[in-house]
Amino acid sequence: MTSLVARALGLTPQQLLDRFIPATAEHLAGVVALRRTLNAAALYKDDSAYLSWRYRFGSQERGRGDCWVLVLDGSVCGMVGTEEVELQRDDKRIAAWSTMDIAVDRRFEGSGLGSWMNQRLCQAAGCALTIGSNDKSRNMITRTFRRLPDRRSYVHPIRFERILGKRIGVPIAAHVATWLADAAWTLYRKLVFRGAQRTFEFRSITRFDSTAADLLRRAMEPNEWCIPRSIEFLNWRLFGNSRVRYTVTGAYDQGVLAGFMATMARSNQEGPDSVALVEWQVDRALFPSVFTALCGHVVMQAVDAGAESVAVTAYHERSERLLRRFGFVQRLDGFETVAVYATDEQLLPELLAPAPWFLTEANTDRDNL
Amino acid sequence: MKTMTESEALALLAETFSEPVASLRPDTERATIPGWDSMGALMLMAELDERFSLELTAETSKNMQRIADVLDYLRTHGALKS
Repeated sequence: MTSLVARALGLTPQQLLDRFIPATAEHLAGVVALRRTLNAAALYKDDSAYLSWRYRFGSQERGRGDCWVLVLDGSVCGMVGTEEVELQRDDKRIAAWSTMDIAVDRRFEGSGLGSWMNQRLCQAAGCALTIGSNDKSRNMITRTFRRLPDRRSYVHPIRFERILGKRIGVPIAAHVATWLADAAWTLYRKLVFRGAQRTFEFRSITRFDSTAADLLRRAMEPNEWCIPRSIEFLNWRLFGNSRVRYTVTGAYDQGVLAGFMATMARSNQEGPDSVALVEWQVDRALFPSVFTALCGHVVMQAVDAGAESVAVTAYHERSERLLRRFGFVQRLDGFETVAVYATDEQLLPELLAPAPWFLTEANTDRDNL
Repeated sequence: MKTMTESEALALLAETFSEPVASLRPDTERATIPGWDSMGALMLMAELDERFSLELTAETSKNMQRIADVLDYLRTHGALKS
């Protein structure tokens, strides 16, 4: 593969390998320029700050992985981002890289460079995980990684005006139907969340401190694959990204943190904002009651804010069962891939074996969109 | 050099891009073939190299926008029977 791509680019295999390196601060402007040529500028406003937060660029003080770049004649022609993670199931912990943000200079489209860079990093990591994909990357994922069951997206509608307005052509009929649907769902919310919130005290969290460490231990389920959270990770992920502002709410049981949920308001070009649930951790001993209470709190916050819906993409069957009960309807118009790669032939079957997983949007880079 | 017929070439491309052979015709556009992405391009380079010792450059690969462009390339390089 290396020789094929090198030849297509007019390089020797060794030259290709030597020019694919972890980016340092001097490459940041080139990475920003590359991304700008490939995507709408508006999508990538403050890109320099975002990239400096997500990747190291030669500094151990920031990021949780390297941005790898291919530099040809002094310019950045390709990039792949990585996040260093651990996959954990009970006592087994495996170092892995999560790969993201693949970009290739349009001049080199068709050279297979994107696939080569991705494969090269997977081999270097030994174990890699990729979560979420678009149509363009889906085939690469299918052929490089081994796919796990897809993640599932759900939406809890709050206001039906826009949805029904589109489907019912007669304005007065649409108005009546909207009123009925809104009223029915308001009643349904009251029923499913009734009483659950009274048990807990809710507080806004603006920074996680050492008291959260105990919750993170209590949140881990036996026999479940997850990317274990740490206080450092949560503070980086939920409070360090200048591009996104999260609302984090903790549920306290007699003063002890029993769980939290993180949400963000999402602007929708077609209509009013929706609220996305991006992360949660819940004491497993109190799971249904805390999860229900936090969900009810988040949904009612979204109602008060005038949001049209609450959305979540989940990878945790136990949480999803409750979400469906709370009126979160699975979206059928898209799917979100989860795929793994492992050079260790004994590890791969373990990762692919049917077992519960816990991943959230906090394990992706999708929330910047 | 080995040569192949157009139908054999279409079968090869179908396998390379993980597409049903019935869905590929000379006028099929690259954009409509999901498997003709970065990975597909890499697989195509590997197939042409292995079977015909043809060295596809990034520029030539990028300029192939339809199945017919691949067939023309094979024909020009003596790998496709006229």
